[in-house]
Amino acid sequence: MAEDNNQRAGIRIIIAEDDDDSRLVLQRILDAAGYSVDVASDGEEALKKARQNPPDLFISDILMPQMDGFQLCRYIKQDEVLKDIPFIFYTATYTDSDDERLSKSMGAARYVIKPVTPDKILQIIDEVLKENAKTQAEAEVPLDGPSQLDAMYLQSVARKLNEKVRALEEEHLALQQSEEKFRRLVEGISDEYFMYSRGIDGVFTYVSPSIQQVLGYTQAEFLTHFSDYLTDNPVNEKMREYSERIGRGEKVPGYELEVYHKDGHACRLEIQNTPLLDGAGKVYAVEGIAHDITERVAAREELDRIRHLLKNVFDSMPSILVGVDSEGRVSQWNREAERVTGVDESQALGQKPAQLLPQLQAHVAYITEAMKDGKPKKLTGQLYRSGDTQTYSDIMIYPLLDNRVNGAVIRVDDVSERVRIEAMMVQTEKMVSVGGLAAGMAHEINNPLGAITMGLQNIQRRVSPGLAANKEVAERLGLDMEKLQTYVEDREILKMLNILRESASRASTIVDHMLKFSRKPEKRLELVDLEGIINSSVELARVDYDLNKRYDFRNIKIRQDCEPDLPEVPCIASELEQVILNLLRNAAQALEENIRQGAAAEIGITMRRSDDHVRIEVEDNGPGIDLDTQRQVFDHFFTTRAPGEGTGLGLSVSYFIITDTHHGRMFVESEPGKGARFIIELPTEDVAGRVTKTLST
Amino acid sequence: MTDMDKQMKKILIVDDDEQVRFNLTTYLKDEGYEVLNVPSAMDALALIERQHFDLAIVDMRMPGMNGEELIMRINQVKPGLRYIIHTGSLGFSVPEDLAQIGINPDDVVTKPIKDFELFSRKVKAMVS
Repeated sequence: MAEDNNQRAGIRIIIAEDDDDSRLVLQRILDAAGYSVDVASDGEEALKKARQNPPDLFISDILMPQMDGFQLCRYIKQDEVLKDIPFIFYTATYTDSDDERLSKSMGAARYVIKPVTPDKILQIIDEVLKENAKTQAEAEVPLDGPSQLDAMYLQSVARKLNEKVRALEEEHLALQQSEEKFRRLVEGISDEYFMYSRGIDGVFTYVSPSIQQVLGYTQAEFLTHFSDYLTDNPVNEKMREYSERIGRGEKVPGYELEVYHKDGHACRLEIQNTPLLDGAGKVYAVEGIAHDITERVAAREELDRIRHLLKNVFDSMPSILVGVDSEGRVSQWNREAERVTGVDESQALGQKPAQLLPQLQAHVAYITEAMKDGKPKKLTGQLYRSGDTQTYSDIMIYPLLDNRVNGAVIRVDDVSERVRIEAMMVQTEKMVSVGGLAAGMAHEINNPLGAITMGLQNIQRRVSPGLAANKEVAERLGLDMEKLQTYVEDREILKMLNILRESASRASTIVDHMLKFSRKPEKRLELVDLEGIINSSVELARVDYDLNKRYDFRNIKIRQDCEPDLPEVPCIASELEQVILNLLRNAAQALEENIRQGAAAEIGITMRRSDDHVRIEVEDNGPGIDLDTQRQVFDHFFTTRAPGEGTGLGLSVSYFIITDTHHGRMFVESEPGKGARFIIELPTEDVAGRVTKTLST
Repeated sequence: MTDMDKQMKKILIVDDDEQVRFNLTTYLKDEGYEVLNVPSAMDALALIERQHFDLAIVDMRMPGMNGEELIMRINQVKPGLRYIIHTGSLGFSVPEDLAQIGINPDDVVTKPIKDFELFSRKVKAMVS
């Protein structure tokens, strides 16, 4: 091959070919084979190059602009200098045998039909060069002169051109079909979408017909600048930045725009823009698709609104509301939950509710069970203790159901106050029922008691000598009245009768107090002499006895100190009596230890006027109350006594009576080892009068 | 004796409790009064229409017509007849309650009678 190449060096070939690719391929093949190659894109150029520097061989296409291959061949064969240079037609379009005959008659050496392998073309070239060396210009006799050649030539070119036109028409048809298909696609999109093109100046050059469905404009109407349609919605603020980026040829992500519909309402569009670049990479236009998402945005906003509403409803609830997912982790945490726990929603999310709300700790299994069953569950009045404070909660679990359990809402209400009031009501109720019972008992007891006392009175009188009727009967029976009298005295019958009478009298006093205590409170404040109430309370306390005999007022010295001319105070006597009696009982119990140790046991009751109220103090010299206990002493259910010995309600009911019913104050002062003093302050008439008036209006 | 008889004041006791009737009758007889007793308000009214009494001692709570109604009827048929309310009932232990139904608290004696001297004085004052 290298030998061949050496032989070929210096052999010059001109290629005439209008198709760049074909020309290049052929040039490469010949170059590689060692030929010196010159190229021309048409006949004219080839002829010009040949006259400047004649080659050793021509290879020419037939159909070329300016001067075709046939013409080139004729000029060369007529040129005195060039006429002996061998000429090869190398063509794809000529398949007619007439063409081959024509070419031969024109003096061409070969007529080669594309494509042939590189080896084949090289072989042909070698053959032609060798033939040329032997036969030096024994040109074939031309046909019948130039006119016949012309006719053949014209026929050939006409055929060739027809061929070319047909090919172009086919090509054009295919292009048209493709464009129509594309147009159908573009124009077929409707309802929510339209397509557009715009120049870099922002003016639309094309919009698809669905513009009318989307924005109400006709295609022609819309061919103005895009900014004509923008609303002042803040969502449009990004538009400028995106526009600039597209102008620089950047591909930007889809974005939202709000534009006016022809009828004036705002439409939300989602825009996908593509910059169109020219050969130099410069943007010359922008194409895009606009999608009407007005409804989608409205639906999204409605969803947001509902979500907000739900959150607000959730937050406005006075209960603790906790949403948990199917894993039992917090998914919602309302404002009350934040307030009570001090834990923000952001911190609470994903946690276990029982870690945040200790009152749920005892009920975790219950919550799980409720979620498993898919049925709402309720626990009422659950006690939770933390240090000194105890709270009562109602806990409700509402499982969230769609197809399956999807979590739950847990509602926790602090019902401590309600439980306390209920307990207080139970106490009041108890007192009322005891009162009712006392009233009935008193009446039933008073009749036989009356019979006893009066019977005793009659007996005493009928055994005494003073009564005239006694004497009459004694005389009739011969009975010595004096002796009878002596007998009765000696046998202590009179003393026995006196004891009976005193006992009956005591029973009667107790019944009287019970009656007074049980009188239905009229809930109307009346001006009452406080000293009378204190006296009656002390009297009640003295006859009060405890079944377990834990205290006894007979061992306690009760000292009363009342400032003279105290103003009357508006109050409900029976209730105030109940309060004082309760304080006296508590004091007596506190003095138990003093009595056991033989120390003095004293209760002091003082009453003083102080500004606009009367101050009642009940103090004892017992062991006193430490500060911790003082803080809780008025709390419901707080008791220092052993289980079963105290309800823990006495002082709380008293506190309620003084502060709520009487608009007063009640508090305690004490130091361990220095006794305890309970203080009640009741407003005098002026103050209470104002209060009463305010209440009644 | 006849003078005494003429001077003897006559008291009517109305009480449904037989023991109270017996004891009170005994006591007042020993005090020197002529005493009649009846167990009901209706019996009392029947007696009052036929006989003169200086004083009626009336229980409040009785079956059938109660003491309060009896007193209203007495006020109609014998406006001058004095009476003492003898009651163990809780409703009449406070002066305001009595005033509400037009009864003078001084005319009330609660069961059981504790101070017999006081009671005797009251009866004596009423009949004279």
